[in-house]
Amino acid sequence: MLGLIRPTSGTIELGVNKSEIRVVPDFPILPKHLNVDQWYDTLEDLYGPVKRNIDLQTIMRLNGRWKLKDLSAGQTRLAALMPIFFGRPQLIIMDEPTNFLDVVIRERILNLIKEQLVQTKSKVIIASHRTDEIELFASEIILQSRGKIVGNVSLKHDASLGYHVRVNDFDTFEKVLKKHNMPFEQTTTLMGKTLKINDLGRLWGPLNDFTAKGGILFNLSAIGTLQSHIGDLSS
Amino acid sequence: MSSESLTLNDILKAVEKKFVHYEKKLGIRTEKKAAENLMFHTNAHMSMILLPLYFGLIAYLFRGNAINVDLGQFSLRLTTFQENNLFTYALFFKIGILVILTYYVTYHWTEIKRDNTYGYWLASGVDRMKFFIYVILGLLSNLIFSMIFGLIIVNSYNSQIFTLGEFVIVIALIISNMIFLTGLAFFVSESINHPEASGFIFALISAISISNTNYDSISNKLFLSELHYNSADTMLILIFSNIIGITLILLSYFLHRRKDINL
Repeated sequence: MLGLIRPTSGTIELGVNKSEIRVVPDFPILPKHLNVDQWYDTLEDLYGPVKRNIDLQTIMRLNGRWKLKDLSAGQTRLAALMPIFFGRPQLIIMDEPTNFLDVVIRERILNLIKEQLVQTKSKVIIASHRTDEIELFASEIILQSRGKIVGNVSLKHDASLGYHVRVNDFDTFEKVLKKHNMPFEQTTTLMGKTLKINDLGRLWGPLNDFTAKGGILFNLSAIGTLQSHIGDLSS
Repeated sequence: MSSESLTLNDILKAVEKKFVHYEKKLGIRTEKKAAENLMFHTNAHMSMILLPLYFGLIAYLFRGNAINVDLGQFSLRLTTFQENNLFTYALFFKIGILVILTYYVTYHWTEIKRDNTYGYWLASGVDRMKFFIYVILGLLSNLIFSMIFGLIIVNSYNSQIFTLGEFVIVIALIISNMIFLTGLAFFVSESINHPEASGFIFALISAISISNTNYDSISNKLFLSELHYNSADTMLILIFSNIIGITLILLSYFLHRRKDINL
């Protein structure tokens, strides 16, 4: 797409001028001799000014005098994300865009990118290992494994596929659920042991009994379509 | 009533603005920025471009030989002496060019592809063809202007030993020589993907060829073409150097275009 690698066969027609494409690679090699201000000026010169009324450097907490070669991994990632906000991009290609960012700035940057996409109506190609990032930008998701399409997920009608419940005392909670004839399934997630239930409407009674016995509810979360597909693939 | 005076800074800014305007009109602004950041980004790089001029002038000014006035045919000896002075300038200028080409083209040009910096700029909208042409023309024009500038100084200082006709032929021969050397450097660089190896091979070929003192050999005619300014095959050397140089540049571009660049 970027003309970096010769195609073995076929063509890709993007219908977008090359100057309207912004790329944020996994390991961006920025011109290290420049400082943040000079990098900002270079981008302005290449793509035109930032169209929105935002102060990028303040939001990204990047001092103009800092040399790009001295930036930390997170700051380098922010500097690499800067081109997205200049001019009117029509296609944005991002590879792991929020790697190395701390949670606070990550949230802020994702919101900024989302707003930028809405305003410029640009298309996005994103490669990410974070499902929340993908869900933020996409309504249709294609899952690939070793170059083959292994799943097609639509997030337009996100029918709930059940809920994950995490509590402090699983034995007591399971007894309470059995007492209420509530079906459940034991699963293991990254967070540890969880119980999967399907009927949220019937959960409140057992939950009330459980908390009355001194139990604590840690987490209750809906299982998304994408999450479910990925779960199916891994199992 | 206040009067606004035009400062040098204002004039420079206006000139720069005009340049930017024409660069945008020609569609080479991105390529220029890329070249500035990839090829000529430090003050050391900028001043390195003038290395051949420094080499040539220093060699000319500090040439240790003196004319022997005890013997007859003084006029002929003086002419030969002055001619040798000029060719000393040209030779050392060329050694400077070879140093620059070894560094910029055979080493650095390959290195930017290896360390992915070129890939980043290509992904940022740089056109390969325009960038290739911009770098070659930028490099050649810098070298040609500094060579002509130096040669004019040396020729004036040297009692204008060459007539205008001879002077033009010498300049044309050196320019064709530069085109040949630039073509060779790019070809070696594009053929061998290892920066250190391509730099070494180009330096080795150049060093062997430039030290060849056999006046009738092809390498002498190609690498030290200015020495043949008044020989019977001057035009042949001129045309041949240009054709080989341009062919090598075109071949390098063809190889460059086919190359996969990492990001």
